[in-house]
Amino acid sequence: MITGVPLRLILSAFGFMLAGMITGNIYMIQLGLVPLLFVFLGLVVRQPTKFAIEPPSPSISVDIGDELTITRDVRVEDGIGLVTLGEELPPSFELVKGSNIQAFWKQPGAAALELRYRIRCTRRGTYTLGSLQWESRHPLGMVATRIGSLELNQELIVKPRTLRVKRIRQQKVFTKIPMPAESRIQMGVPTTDFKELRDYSFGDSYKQINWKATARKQRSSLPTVNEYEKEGRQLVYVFLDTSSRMGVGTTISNCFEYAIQATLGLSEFYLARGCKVGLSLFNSRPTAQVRGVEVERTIRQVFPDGGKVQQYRIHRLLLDAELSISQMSLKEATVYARGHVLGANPLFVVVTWVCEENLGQLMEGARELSKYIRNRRQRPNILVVNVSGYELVSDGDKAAQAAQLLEFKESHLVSQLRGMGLMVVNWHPLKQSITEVLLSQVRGV
Amino acid sequence: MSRFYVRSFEAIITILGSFLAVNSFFSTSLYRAISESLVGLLGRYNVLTTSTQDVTLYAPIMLSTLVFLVVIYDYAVGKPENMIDIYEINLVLITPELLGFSKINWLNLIEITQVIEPTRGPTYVFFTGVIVLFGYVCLLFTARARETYGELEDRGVGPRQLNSIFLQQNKASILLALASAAVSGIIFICLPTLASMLISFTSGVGYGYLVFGTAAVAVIFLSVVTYLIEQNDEQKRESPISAK
Repeated sequence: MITGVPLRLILSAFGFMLAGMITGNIYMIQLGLVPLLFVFLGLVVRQPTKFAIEPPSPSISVDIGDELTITRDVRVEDGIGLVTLGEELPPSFELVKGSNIQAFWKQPGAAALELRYRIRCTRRGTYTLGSLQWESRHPLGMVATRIGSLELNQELIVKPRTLRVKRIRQQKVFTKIPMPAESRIQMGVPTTDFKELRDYSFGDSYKQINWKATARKQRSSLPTVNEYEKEGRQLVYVFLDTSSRMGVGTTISNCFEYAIQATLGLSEFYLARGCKVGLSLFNSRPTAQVRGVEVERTIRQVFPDGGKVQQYRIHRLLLDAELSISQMSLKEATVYARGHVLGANPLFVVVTWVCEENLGQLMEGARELSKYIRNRRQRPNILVVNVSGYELVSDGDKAAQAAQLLEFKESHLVSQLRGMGLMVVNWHPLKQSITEVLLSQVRGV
Repeated sequence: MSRFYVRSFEAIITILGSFLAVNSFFSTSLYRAISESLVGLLGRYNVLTTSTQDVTLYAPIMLSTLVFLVVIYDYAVGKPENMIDIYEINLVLITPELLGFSKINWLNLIEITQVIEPTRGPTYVFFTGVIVLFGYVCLLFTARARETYGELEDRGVGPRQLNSIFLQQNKASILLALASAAVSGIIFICLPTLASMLISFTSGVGYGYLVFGTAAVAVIFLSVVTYLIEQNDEQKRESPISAK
């Protein structure tokens, strides 16, 4: 489509020609040729229309906070003019170097254009880089700009950063890092560990019948069988707080991101040691209503299991985890997962930020958790990782002092939890890694 | 740096075009007639003093100053509308001299004879017109390139790419303007030879000027319209993508 510019020039040209005709002036008619020829030559030149792209790899995976260089090789076959290439990025990403929109002057003949820029992936999640937009302009703007897109279909996975928890040898002797006390489960292959005597039920093996015990019974119709412990794996159940308070900090460095890192690190630690790990997202400050509408009581969880597949499941859940994604309290989440932890005497890990607003709810949840624990060896079976967020929003000395004061003010809350028999670990993400925090619990180090 | 070069080119072409246009105006018999009429008018109302008698001396300076002030303002603002203003001023100034070469003197009909008479050669006048039109086209497209520059800058394109594009875009428009001016010049130079070759054929036709002239303009007009329509249709066929 022709734009207004050549039409204006054509009108000028015909103005001259008409004036020349009326006045019988050959020079005016000839002058009219200047804009007319310009328009003609301008329209002979064509803008680029044929674009092709080197297909990118279908998936890129990076850790949160990592920098990523994105390169797109575009081939333009024809035309002359201004070519603009651009790609839409997720809003939270930071442009580190270059620009995601770049302009090139396309010379005659085929040309290879390279769109290259560097971004920092500041938010977890799975993103789709669907298409590369192109825009082609006529060199003189005489023809309307053409726009189009080239398919990319590239998936960008921004993973939460995993905090590697080091293995401590002979941990039972040296460390206070809790491990699940037992490895009993309701179902599974029976071991040789005797559990109890019970009446025979359909399906029991004859080998299990305890004849002496049956003989001692008088007038009982059913024989007595030996019940053995089932073979199972130690169980760890992690609860991650998704309350809005956890969002304190910047997009990259906030309490929730660190809590996710800790959750992922601990999950991998326990999974690597053959434990079954479950994960529930809870909300220590659930919202009852939003604008008069009752909020749906949702929960996100991964039921306990072991191995690489479970690691992947946990990873996917954490990848999509958002603040307030769950609206169930710790107690409700525990009740919801009860069927999976009952009788297994698991280790519970609660990752949260302990504060006055959620203390009551956490204590209530801890009481519910303790119902599923048989603490035979006086080992703590509830570990609370307290991710302190004050320092994440403090900048400068004065703010740091204020943050320390606030932390001190809230230290008695942690004491109250410890008074209930919970093991509470305070983690200051900017000062120390989760490994250092857990190592500080090691005796004799 | 590219902006500086382009701005310098614009300044040169603006000053050159305006100078030629002003010079053309002062070379016409129309200007002489106007200044003489003015002196006569002032004398009739007894305001003729020593200084007003020299109005023919001061008027060019005053008019030139006025024209250059307006042109400098338009150049400084540098938008496409301002470039059109410069062109229109220059066009108004060169028109009287161009009209001096008209074969049909319409002013004779209202009995004002010999007001517009050529004082310089047709080649000089024609190339003055070509330079004014070349300047108009160049200034219009450099101003548009500046708008594109600003737009891309707002969208986040880097300065290196912007400068390169700005320079290339201006190069393209100046080259095309030069080419069209050159072709017009060649036609102007070749026309007398062509005319002498065709005179034997056209002299036999009555009202040849009207017959051939009207037919030629009509053919050019129809060709342009057909070309534009064809261009539109072709683009619609080529691109299913909606144009911005």
